[in-house]
Formats: sequence, C-alpha cells, structure tokens
Amino acid sequence: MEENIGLFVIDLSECDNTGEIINNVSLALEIPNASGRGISLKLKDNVLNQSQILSIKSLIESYNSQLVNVETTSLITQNACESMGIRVKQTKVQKIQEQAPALQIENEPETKPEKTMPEQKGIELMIEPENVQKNIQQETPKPAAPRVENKFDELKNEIRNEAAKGKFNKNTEPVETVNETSSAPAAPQHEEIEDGLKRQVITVYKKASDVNLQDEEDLEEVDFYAPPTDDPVTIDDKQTIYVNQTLRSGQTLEFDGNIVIIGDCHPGSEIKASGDITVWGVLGSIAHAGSKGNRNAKIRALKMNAVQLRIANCYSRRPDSGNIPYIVKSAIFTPEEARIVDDNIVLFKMANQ
Amino acid sequence: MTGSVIVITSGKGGVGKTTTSANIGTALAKGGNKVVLIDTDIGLRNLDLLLGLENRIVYTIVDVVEERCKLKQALVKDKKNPNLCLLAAAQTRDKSAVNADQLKEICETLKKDFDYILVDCPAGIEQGFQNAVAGANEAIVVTTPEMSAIRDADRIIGLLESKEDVKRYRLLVNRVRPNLIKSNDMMSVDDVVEILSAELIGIIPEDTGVITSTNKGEPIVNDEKSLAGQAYLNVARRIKGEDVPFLDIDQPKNIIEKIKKFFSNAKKAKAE
Repeated sequence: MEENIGLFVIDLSECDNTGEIINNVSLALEIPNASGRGISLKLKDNVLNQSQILSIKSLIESYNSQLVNVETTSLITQNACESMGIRVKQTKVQKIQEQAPALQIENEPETKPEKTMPEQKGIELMIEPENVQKNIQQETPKPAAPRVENKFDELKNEIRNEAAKGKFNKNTEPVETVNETSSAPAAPQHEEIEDGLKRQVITVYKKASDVNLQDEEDLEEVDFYAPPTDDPVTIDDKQTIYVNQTLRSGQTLEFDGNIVIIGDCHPGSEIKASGDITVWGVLGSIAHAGSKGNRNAKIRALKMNAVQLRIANCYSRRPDSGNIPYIVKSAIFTPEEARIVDDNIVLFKMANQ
Repeated sequence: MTGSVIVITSGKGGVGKTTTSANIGTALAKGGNKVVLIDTDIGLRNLDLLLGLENRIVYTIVDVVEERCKLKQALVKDKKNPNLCLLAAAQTRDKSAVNADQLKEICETLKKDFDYILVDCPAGIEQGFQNAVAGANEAIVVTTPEMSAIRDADRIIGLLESKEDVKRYRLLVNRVRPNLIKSNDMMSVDDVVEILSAELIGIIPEDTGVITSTNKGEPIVNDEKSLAGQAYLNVARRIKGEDVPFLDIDQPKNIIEKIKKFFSNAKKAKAE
C-alpha cells in the first residue's frame, strides 16, 4: 500500500497557539493522501500539555492516521509526548514503514489519559442558601474517569485479542477503535473539524468588552474575575464535585476544581470553577471555568443557553438573537462545549456518539 | 451638569415599577437626554431583562460598592440608545449588600454626567426602599386603580413626605382599563387622584403589548403604535417640564364604537 508508507510531515512551527495548531492539522489531514498514514508533527517551540497532545492525537486518529513522531524543542511537550508513547525528536522516514500499523495497536490503549488521583484537600464550597450544601457529595476521582478507563480496558483487551488472532494487518484499520476514543475527555475536538473547515461552530460568543461601556484599559486595570497567570494545577489533577440538583436564580456554586452538575442551571445563578464545568442539563446561567486562569478549561452542557460564558480571563455573552429571558426546556438537546480559540470563546458541537 | 434623581416606587409589588422605569428611561434617552437607570432590587433584579441587557452585565452595583470595579465600568450601555445606561443589581446577593449612604454617593457621582438618574425601587418599605429613596430628589409613585395598590401608595407617599430630599412626588396610574371604568367596575383615575390627593404625571392604559415587550426585552416605547408606549412618552415629556395633555386612553376598538363615540362627543358638545 503506497499510502501507508512513510511519514506525513505537518509543519506547525509557525503556529502560536493550540487553536491554530488544531486548525492546521485538520487542514493538512484534509489532503487525501494524508489519511491512513503515520503523521509527524514539527512543533518547534510550541508548548503543549498532555491533554492538548491527546486531543491532537485523537483528531489525527479520526482520520485513520497515527501520530507517530513529534519534533519539539519544548521540554514540556517532550515529556507529555513521551508519557503517551509518542516518539520525540527526528526519526528516519524509512524506519516507520513497517512499524506504523504495529505502533497503532500498541498506542491505542495508551491514549488513556493518566488519572492521577490528587490527595484529598479541603474542599471549599460557597453555596447560598446553605441547605444546598447537604446535597453536594464529594468525589475525589473525576466522575468520567472510571467509565473511560473501563472502556479503554475493554478496548485494550479487544485489540489484543484481535491482534492475537492476526486480524489486524496493514489494510484493515481499526475504525471502531478510533471512534470509541471519542469518549475520552478531550476527544470531541476532532469532531468540529471533521468536514474540513465546515466546522460545527454554532455561535461565537461575543467578547463582553466589545459591548459594554467598559474601556479596554479599564478592564486591564481591574480584573477581579481571573488573574492572567496560568493556573499551575492542570485540570486533570483537580478534584471534582457532583451537584445533583437544579441551580436556581441567586444561587452561586464556587469550587476549586471541576464541577459536574446533574440538573439545570437557571438564569441568575452563577457557577465558578477553577477547572472544567459540565452541566448535565440546560446551562442558562453565568458559568466561569478556569477561574484561576487556566485557559484550557472547558464548559460543557447538554443544552447551552448561557447568559455569559467566562473562561480564565476571556468573557463572552449570549448573542442578542438568542436573548430569551426565560429558560427554554425542550426535548432536543445538542450537547455543546465551549473553549478558548484565539481569545474568543467558541462553542463546538460535541460528538454524537 | 446636575441631573435630577427620580425614584420610581409603589409599595405594592407587581404594579409596574420596573416596566415604568425601563420605559420612561428609554423615552427620555430617545429625546436626547443622558439617562442612567439604577436597579436597586438586589437579589430580584428584573430591569435588565426588560431592557434586554441581561447578557451584558459583568459588574453590578454591589461590585461598585465593594470597590471591585469603577462606577463607569459597571454601567451597561443600551443596545440601541447610547444615551441610556443601566447600573444593574446583583442577583446573588440581598438588599443588605448596599446601604443608603452608598447609594446616595453613587447618585451624587452620576449626577455630574447624566441628566436623569432613574432609581427603580424594590417593593416594600424596608431597607431596599430606604436605599432607593436616599439619593432621590423627586419621586414617581406608581399605582393601579385597585384598593390594595392605592393603600400602599398612600403609605409610600407618607414616607416620601417625611424625606427632606424628596422635593416633589407625582402619581402615575398604571394598567387603567377604560372599559371597566365605564361599566363602574374599576375606579376612575380621578377617583385615585382624589383619594391620594397627589399630582398626576401620567395615565397608562392596560396594554397586552407590555407583556410581549417584556418577554422580548424591548421597552414598549419603541413600538410607535402602542398606546401604552405613547402614554410613557408623554410621561417622559412631562418629566422634562413640558405641558402635555393627558392621552385619551378610551380608544375605540372597531368602527361601530368609533361612530358611537363620535356621536356621543357631538352630543356633549351640544349640551355644553
């Protein structure tokens, strides 16, 4: 198979941020002979953490290709790649020829995000009124983790069994396996870019500073919502709480870590987390993820109708066209995820599966 | 520039204080005046919804008072009218987050830059009311032609009279239904004015358009066809000191009523 031979090199040394990198990677993968091959990324001095590499990897895998090789000068990126079994530095193109399919089988289980269980620290909660507190249960591991790990374990076994039977060869791509990885926390990123740049971006929430009377300079002077510095604790290492109730107007939920809400968030309430915010219901309130400055934080909801989304020091507001003062509860849910792309908060449709 | 601070209050809830604030504010701003609306209903804010500005609020009056931001930063500009600004209330706090002196100070500061400062007062006569009234030098008492609303308005007028700073108070009768007045099922505006013995500033007819405009987040004064919108525009002109005759709110609905009214008017004229 001519296409499976050799590495496809994508030069990303010009890129400045993750959004651009993902954009360029997806553009490059659109080239027909890029699919089904080993991919080599030239990252130069770009600093990427483990979850970012993971999302790029799953993006590449969605095109039936494998991330085999990464060229980087950044130590952080190097460590992140090595911990995921991706080769760093330069490799001769010829050597990959036979290894690519084999690597793929080995690599697959390793997409498992490493869940380091942080030590139980004091959980700070600020909830009004007090009676809310009773309903909140603490949970140390990320709630999604056991499920994901199980899936990966299953996958691992499945792949091993299949490999033992000799079912996998160069031509049969484990398509299912690739799809399954979309349940990994960071994986939905590949979904929006799947059809070229026909992205499933629904709304670019506008920057709040564009519309308020606030002058840009004033905003810089007083930023009380988020310090501009990066949060030293990565999102994966943060604790997570479950809140199994509806958040009503006037109630605030603040937590140093990730928040998972099973229920709706009504307009007038506020959620603030230093990590991710996930709402299993309608998000109709103000949500601030990465409140300590973590720009990789994400906000997910089954239905996104948030008045304002804030991630780290980025603000955005709901477009006026969708400015309905009451919460719309319908049976149709389109799960969405908000992330920072080029200082804008952009909503992406999450994978259907 | 020294603006006037006007508090819009009622005592009873649900008579239309917030609707009145939003509409008078918009009407004044449409007339070219610089207007700022202050929502003092902390914990139960609604003024932002009526103006359709909910999604633009970053800082609130509580942030200003607690010095997390400058006053200028907390002012949210209206979508359409750059003359109109909103100082929103915090939803996640309560009335005790602000005290009367702080509100007075805010009003004094805003007076320098704005022609009119409209303070939307919460229902009740507790601290929220005391805060809202603190900086005001004029008041508009909103009432409906119902006994309960009138009694509460009477109580409010009594409290306003005891405030030295409030130099003038005027009455706005809201949700008037001419049909019911005709059939003697509702108190007439004259009766209300007589009972309360206060100066009248406006009569607003009941208008279903108010409900839709509230849901859309667009004040009804922007709807030129609406009778209630017209009435609010007239109120704004009276605030500016113009002498505007009261609107004939008894607008006939169909041709037969129009003819009837024409003849009855002619009869009246003859008799006189």
